[in-house]
Formats: sequence, C-alpha cells, structure tokens
Amino acid sequence: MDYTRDPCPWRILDDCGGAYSLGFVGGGLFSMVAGARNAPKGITNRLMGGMANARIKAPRTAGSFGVWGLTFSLCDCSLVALRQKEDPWNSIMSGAGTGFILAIRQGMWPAVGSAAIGGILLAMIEGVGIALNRFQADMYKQQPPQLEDSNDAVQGGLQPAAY
Amino acid sequence: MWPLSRFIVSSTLRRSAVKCITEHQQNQIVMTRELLAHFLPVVYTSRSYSQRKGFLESLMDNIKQEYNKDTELKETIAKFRKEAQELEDSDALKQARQKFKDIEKEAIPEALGKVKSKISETAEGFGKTEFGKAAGKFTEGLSGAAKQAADSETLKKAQSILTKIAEGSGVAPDSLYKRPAKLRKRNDNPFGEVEREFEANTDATNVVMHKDSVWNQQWESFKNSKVGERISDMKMQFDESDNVFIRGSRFVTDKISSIAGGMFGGTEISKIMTEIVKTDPNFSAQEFIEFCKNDIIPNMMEAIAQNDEEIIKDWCSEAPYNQIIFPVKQAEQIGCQYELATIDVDHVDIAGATKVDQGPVLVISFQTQQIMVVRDKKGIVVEGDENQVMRVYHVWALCRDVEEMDPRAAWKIIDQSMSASPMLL
Repeated sequence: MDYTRDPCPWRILDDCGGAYSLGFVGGGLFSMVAGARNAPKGITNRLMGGMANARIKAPRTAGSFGVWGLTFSLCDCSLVALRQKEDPWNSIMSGAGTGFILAIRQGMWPAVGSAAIGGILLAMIEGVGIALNRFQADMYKQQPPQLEDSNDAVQGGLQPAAY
Repeated sequence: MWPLSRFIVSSTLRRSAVKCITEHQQNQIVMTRELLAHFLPVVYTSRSYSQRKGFLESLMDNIKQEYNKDTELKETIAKFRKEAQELEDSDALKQARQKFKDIEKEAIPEALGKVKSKISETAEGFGKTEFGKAAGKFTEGLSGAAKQAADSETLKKAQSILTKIAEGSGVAPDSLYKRPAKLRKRNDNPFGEVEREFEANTDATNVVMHKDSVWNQQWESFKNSKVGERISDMKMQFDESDNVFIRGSRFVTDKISSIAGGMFGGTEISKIMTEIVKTDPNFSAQEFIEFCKNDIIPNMMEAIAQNDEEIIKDWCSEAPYNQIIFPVKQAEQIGCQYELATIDVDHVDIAGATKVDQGPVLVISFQTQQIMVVRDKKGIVVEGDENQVMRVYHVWALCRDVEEMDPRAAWKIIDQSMSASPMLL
C-alpha cells in the first residue's frame, strides 16, 4: 500500500489539483515560448506576444490536464473499490477508461482509439515503475549477509548475571 | 556479578562499620564479644552467616510472603466478587436502577424544555431591549427590501431568462457564440468612417540618410577587403565542392544551422507578423484572433445560414466562394433550402502564415459545432438530421489586402477547407 498518498476519496481531488498545476506550469511555459517565437520582431513585441499567448493558452492546458487527472483518479478509485486490490492493472484500466470518457464526444471509434492509446501509455508508465522497483530491490540484495564471529568479550571472565 | 560484588563490598563495609563502632566499646565489650564468640560460635557464625546468606534467605522470605499475600489476595477477591454478585441480585439495587431510568426519561425532556424556555425568555427580553428593536427593524427592512427587489424589473427579467434557458431558448452567456445582429460587407463599417487620409507632405525638404551603425560599416569594409574576398572564395569552394568529406560536413553544418537558426531566426509566422505590423502598427495576434472569433467567423456563418450570396462574395475570393456556396446552390436546385445553425465557435488559432503576391496570409483554424440540414418548402427535413450536431474543423487562409487601410475591412478569405464529423453527446 502506498502510504504517501491520501486514501481514496480525497486522493481524487489531490490528483486533480496536481494535474491542474502541472498543466498550468508546463502549458504556461510552452505557450509563452511559442507566443514569443511567433510574435513580430522586437523584444517588446516578443515579450507581449509570449505573455498574451500564455494568458490564453495556459488555463486551457491546465483545465485539460486537470480533467484528465480527475477522470483517471475517479476510475482508479472505483476500480480499487470494486476489485478490493491495489495493483498496476488498476492504473492501466483507468488509463483506458479515461481515454474513452474524454474522447466519447467525438464518436465511438475515436473514443475506442483514445482508450487504446491511454491504456498503452499507462502500461508503459507502470512497466517502467515496476522495472525501477525490481532494479532497486536487486541493488540491495546483491550484498550477501556476512556472518559475524560471536565475539565473546567475556571469555572465561565474569559472566554477566541476569538479575 | 555486579550485585554480588556490591553486596560483598557493602557487607565488608558493614562489618568494618560494626568494627569501627564497636572499637570504642571494644575495650569494654571486646572481651564479652570474644567470650561470646568463644562460647557461642554458632551465634556469632550464624550472624556472620546470616549476613552472607541473608540475601538468599530474605529472598526466600520475600517469595513466601508474596505467595501468602497472593493467596490472601485471591481469597479477598473471591469474597468481594461474591458480595458484589449478591448486591447485583439484590432487590434494592434493581429498584434503584429502575428509578434511575425513570428519572432519566423524565429528566432529559424536562431539562430540554427548561433550556428552551430559558432561551426564549432571554430572546424576548432581548427583543424588548433597544438593540433588539433595532435589529428587528433591520430584518424587517431586509425582508421588505427583498420583496421589493423581487418585484423589481431586473429580477423578473433575470428570472425569465433563467426559465428560458432552462426551457432551452433565450439569451446565452457571453462566451458562447452569438449571432451577429446585422451582417456586413467588408467595407460596411457600423462605426462610421475611420479612414485616415494621407496627404503628401510638400513642406519637408530635408531628407536625412539613415546612418548605418559603426559595426555595420566595419563589417562592410571588411567584406570588401582582400582578406574578406579570400574568405568568400573559400566559402564558395566549400559550397560547391564534390569531395565526399566536404559534402558530409556541409550536410551536418546545414542541418545544425537550420535547427539553431530556427530557434533564433524566428518562425515564418514571426516574419509575416513583422510585415503586417509595418502596415498596421496596432496589430497583435491576440487581437486578430478575437476579431476573427467575434466578427469574421460569425458573419460568414450567418451569411451562409441566410444564403446571402453577396456578403459571401464580398468576403471571399473565387475559389472559396464556390466551395462555400456549393451546398446552398445544390439545395436551391432541388427546390429546398440549405440550413446551417451554428451552436458554438471555439479553438480559434493561428496555424500558420505565408506570403503571396497580394500580401501576407494568415492561416487560422477553428472548430464549430453546427447542425446542417436541407429542408424542403414544407419544412420537412430532406437531408441531414435535425438533432445531430456536427463538429466541423475549418481552416481558412486570410489574406491582408495591403492597400486597404482599415484593418477591419482588409482581410479576405482566399482559401478554405472544412471537415465534418458527427458528435455523440
């Protein structure tokens, strides 16, 4: 069990907020760079262009990320409650479900495709996580435990009496 | 080990202490002691033994005592339990319990009632005070004001709007797509003439040459010098050589310079923007996008919906005009009308820029949610579905007419494309 995260109902808001801030910062930076590049020549123009673009785009990206995080966490918590287990399969199925739900407006087939992409993406992420865990565990296992000679500090002397 | 050594030490100390104490009396008692020791070796030795064995003996004694105490304790506990049980079963206790329950039942509501009455008393008392009266008036005033407000016009309007929205018709919030009240051609300026007039300035006769910077001059002189010529010759050789290695290195340098130059040289959009800003100093990308979203796109959409060919022709050049007008003409041919209802316009973005002979071109892309049906004269739907909303992806190429001064009239659609797909929800 992952003790660093909140239990399930509160985890949903946690994930949603985290995804929103990630989208906000990342989207803000990227859109600022893009706006600065697409602006007319001149440092003032580029600065203004960057700021204007970031002002418009960053909340949108943040909202998209936040919605993704919210649906993902909802699916995850629902699966945990249903299956009564916490394992990587939950994450993979949640990824697929999120892709499906968020693309359903565009039709059935795009939704199925989006679900497939989401599932594959999450499977890759979980796979990397499992590989990392195994690697770390191996790293610690490689030192064999050395048997220490029982050092009798009191050899033939007064033995400590257990009173 | 420690306790034993401590005991030994302490016992020796005790013995020495005894010796010290008795030394004073030794002169007197030593004889007696020695006599005693002589006559009662057992006593003396037992005392000394008791001092050595005393620990173990006292330990045994302690254990025995504890055990006895334990048994005593057990007996007392058993007795206590018996008595407690007797007490439980006794009638007196039962009656007492019953009484307690009854009292409980009566007491709590009574207590609550008392509290309530107390509170109401205090409230009344409060109401009778000056402050309370003022507060009463205040609340009355509030409710009165609320009633007044409820009767007011704006609130009624707001309510009606809300009910309309709930029913599915009426005024939508600001951010949604709004149909333009009046369609306009490019030069119809609803705000009046904003033409700037340009007159030739015949007074100024001094024309000052723009002085190049010092660096620029130095660079020019260097380029024209002998060393510069040598370097340019070498560069020419490098560019036109057929040697394999040089071609390889040329490939690499070209690649790197294109990537690195792209970062700093500016994108195509940037160059076109710079050009547009030259003609129109107040131009900005955001403003343009707002202009498209609020003006050009709704205008065009409504023009198509109302089949207003003149306006469409004014805004588009030949090719897009034919493309846009095609479904309208087709519907007309079979005696029906092509209906287009635009629900929303979003994600308006500048996708690219280029330059053609007529001027700079900005390519915008946007999505609309539209319902497209073909109705015949009786109003029956011939083609399409009334309740099926289509998501349409549009790409328009807008060219800025450089001779037009008014930015609101300067843009013309020179190319367009759209792709529609049905939306599920």
